Amino acid sequence: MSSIRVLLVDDHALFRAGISSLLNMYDDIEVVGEAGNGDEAIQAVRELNPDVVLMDVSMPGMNGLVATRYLMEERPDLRILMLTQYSHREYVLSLLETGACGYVLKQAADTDLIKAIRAVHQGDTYLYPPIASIVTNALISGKTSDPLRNLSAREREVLIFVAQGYSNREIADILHISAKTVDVHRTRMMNKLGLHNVAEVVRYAIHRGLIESDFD
Amino acid sequence: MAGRKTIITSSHIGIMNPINVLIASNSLIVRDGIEALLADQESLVVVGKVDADKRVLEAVESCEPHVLVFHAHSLKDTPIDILEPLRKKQPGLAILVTGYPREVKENSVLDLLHRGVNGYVCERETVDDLIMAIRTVAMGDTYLCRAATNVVLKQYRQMNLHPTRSVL
Repeated sequence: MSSIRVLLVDDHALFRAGISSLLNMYDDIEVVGEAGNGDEAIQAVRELNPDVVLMDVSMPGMNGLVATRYLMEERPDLRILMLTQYSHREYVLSLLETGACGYVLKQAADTDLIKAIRAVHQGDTYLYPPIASIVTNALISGKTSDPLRNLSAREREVLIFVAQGYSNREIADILHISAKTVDVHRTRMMNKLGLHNVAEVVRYAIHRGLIESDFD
Repeated sequence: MAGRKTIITSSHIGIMNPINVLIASNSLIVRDGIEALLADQESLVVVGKVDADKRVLEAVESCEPHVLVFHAHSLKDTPIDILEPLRKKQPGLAILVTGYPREVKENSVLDLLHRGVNGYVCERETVDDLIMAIRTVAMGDTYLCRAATNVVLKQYRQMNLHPTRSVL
């Protein structure tokens, strides 16, 4: 039986080394590469063709949310498993909506991670229990009139980057789009949310858990 | 299943106090079977066994379990409508449903979640999965087996709560 080829994406080299060491202890899992941010991840997927990508959320430059969306557009069959300490509802739902097929928190036991990798590789989905709670609650509560729901994926990404202090030019470079297009998304996002300046965007993002002071 | 090269010990959930479990099933064999499976788990105590019908309501009041393991081999033939009043009456009770894999259909899983169920485990899952599920729901989280997770995530995406495509 061929092993599951895994790509690790996390900006902390020591964490990658630890996870790599752990995964390589299993006969059916092989770590084929590592990446430190979203851009490197996209390049590594093209070069290494992994079966499963273990993706962190918050990384410098292109984050895991943007990288996941790009990768799912380029490789819809790719199995992306989020591995992060970030468990806020809005981020979780956005990532799963984008196409990630599993979500594991870094606080999980090693056995949970192995179980998740095997599950997504076999075509199933995996949600770590606290994440399952978030998704089921969202499912049960149904559609809401929350204006955040009305943002497009790109507008949501721009919201996060603006709140993190990035300029239009910097966001354009990360997303590989023009600064003018970023400005269009930014304007639409602020109009939809009724926000008038960057300070309000930051306050809103913190309030909704899209960014936080101890962001990983 | 591929082997593991070295043993790694880790504790998923640390619970100091035992978890009291009530087993509800219309099958005596299933009731006794689940009790036997949980017997060597120090942190789990089976406090009662009962038929999966309206007698569950009384048993919950008398046994005061933390977790109700409700076996519904066939959702059609099991009175799952008792779960809703049970949830209203016992908001702190964790309800874990076990059932036949073919019962994991979109409508059935969603229906159970709407009735206040905290978790679903297929009969094809392992004993370790069942034990993990009991511990998970006892801590207030949701536990879904693979099949149920697939259904829930698919349904969530179909709800289209978040637009996924850029407009430009």
